[in-house]
Amino acid sequence: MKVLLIEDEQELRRSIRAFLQDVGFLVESANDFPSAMEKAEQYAYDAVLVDITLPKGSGLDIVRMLRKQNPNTGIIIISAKGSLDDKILGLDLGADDYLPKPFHLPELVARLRALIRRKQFAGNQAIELDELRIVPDDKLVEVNGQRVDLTVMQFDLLLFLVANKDRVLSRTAIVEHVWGEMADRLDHDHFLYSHMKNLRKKLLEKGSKDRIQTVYGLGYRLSSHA
Amino acid sequence: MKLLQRTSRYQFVLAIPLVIVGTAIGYGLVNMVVTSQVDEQMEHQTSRVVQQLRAGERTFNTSAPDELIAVVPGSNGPLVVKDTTLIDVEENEVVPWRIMRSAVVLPDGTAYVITLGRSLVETEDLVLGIALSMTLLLALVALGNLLLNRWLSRKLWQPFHNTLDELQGFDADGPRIPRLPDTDVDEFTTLNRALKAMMTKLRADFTAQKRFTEQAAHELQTPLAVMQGKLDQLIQSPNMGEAEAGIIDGMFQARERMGRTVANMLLLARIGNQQFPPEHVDWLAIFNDQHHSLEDLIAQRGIRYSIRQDQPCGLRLHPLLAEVLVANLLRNAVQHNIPAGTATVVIGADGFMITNTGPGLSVAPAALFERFAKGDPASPSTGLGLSMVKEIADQNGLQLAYGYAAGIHTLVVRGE
Repeated sequence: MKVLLIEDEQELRRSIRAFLQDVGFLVESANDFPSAMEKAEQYAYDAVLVDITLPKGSGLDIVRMLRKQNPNTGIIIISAKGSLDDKILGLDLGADDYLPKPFHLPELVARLRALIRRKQFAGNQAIELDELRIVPDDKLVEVNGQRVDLTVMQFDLLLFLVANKDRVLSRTAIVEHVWGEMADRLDHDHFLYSHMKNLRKKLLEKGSKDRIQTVYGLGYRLSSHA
Repeated sequence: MKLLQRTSRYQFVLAIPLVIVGTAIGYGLVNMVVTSQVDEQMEHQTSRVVQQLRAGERTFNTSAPDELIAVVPGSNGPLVVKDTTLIDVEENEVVPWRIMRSAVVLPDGTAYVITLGRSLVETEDLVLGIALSMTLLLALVALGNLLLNRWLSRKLWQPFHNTLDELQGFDADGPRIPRLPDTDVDEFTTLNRALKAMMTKLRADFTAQKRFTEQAAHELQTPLAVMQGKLDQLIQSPNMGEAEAGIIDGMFQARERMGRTVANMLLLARIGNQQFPPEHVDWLAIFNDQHHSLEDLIAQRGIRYSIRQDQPCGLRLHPLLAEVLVANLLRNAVQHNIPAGTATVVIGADGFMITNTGPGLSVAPAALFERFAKGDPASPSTGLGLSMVKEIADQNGLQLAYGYAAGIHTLVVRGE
């Protein structure tokens, strides 16, 4: 899947690019308005990540242009937080999502995957991982064709883990994803632990492989080749 | 006490001794003048009697009821003038008299004592009358002075009171600049101009400070994002030992806390900028949403949470701010609770009330809504939650009332 990353901060661009490539995206990047416009006009992308404040122009103009050109391209605005007007304007212009900085890279991956799924497969696509099958829009999880009953939170957790399979997810990233960005991780460590334990138990009970691993002191990882 | 009351009181206190002393002096003076007048008359009469004695007359009488005259042979003593009292037989009352007794020796060698008397009844009445009218006059002058002063100060100090009224409505953050026009009193004009200069400076400083906070917080977000990205990458490293994991986890936590503080600072700085116009919101839905994200914490602490809506609440607020407000208040009610305590929300037409069990405050209630006021300095909270609540309330015409009694914290949010 091809992604265009438009971000002027070099170190952030490098991190995002490397992280996305590691999980299997093809990433092109641009660091200012003219080069971003050029790439966006010439090539088709599955998704575009665009910063609003760019050298020599506004990311909002890129959003406007992209939306006119190709309705199937997913657009996520990544911008410094607090530009509420930017958010509303950006979404009005046709951006699909808005991720305020600073964000966790796994969060970006999860949103990107969800967006592409929504755009290209109208949400009907199932995610499959050997014995595991997830249909996000139906909130359905199956192990070897057997339905697994999960709570909303457990489903959320699983989806987040699967979207970032084989990556280590920090507890902070998971807590922010599940409980919101203002949630205090220390308050939620305990809950995260028990939700994760229950999720793992339910999957194992239906005969799934032991995919959810605890990465000591850091967080969790869902392994695709357990 | 008001300035006017204070000056009036001093004037009043001064007027009383003034009237008393003034009356006493007046009385004494009039009395002296009248007495010397009587004495003079009696001296004249004495010399007349002496002439008559020389002319050979020996009987002296007076028909006037307020006069006495007695001439008897004898020679005792020098001139005596004194006040005395005699009994009026007819009226049967004691009457004051002035008596003058003098001795005279005629050329033929016979000596006489002349005693003259004047009743002081009339003069005393006169003196009293004069003294009384003086008192009255003095009292009237004092009262008039008092009233004049009151009226004058009220009139003269009017610009000052206008200034005070205007100042009370001043808010460095508010939309209104107090009107302080020049007056016809130089001092007040100077005062008003000095105040205007001060307030203008204050507003400018405040705005600049706010803009600085906003820009600083904004600028911090990109480096924070870089840091976060690097950390997310770093933990993918396969050769991570326990020690390294611990260090990195500490960095994750610090990054998280910093991010939250920056986000709160930014929001605080922006609340006053009219970026969040109030609208109608469904408060019950917002409470239920926020309750949802606290469910785990509530269950873990065994807190009994209940919510009741008597009537849909008509408070208007921007949805984002309403969310922040409710999130902070609910989190507070859960976090500063006791194990197996209660937290209750009641929503009414003109506001809502949150009550929860909890230990008493470790900060003064007045400091509760201040920035960075934390009960426990070591707590990971940003200390900005309640100050954000207050800022949101202040900027949107909502009133906050906090109370603590018998182990129950009560917080009420109401329209003004």
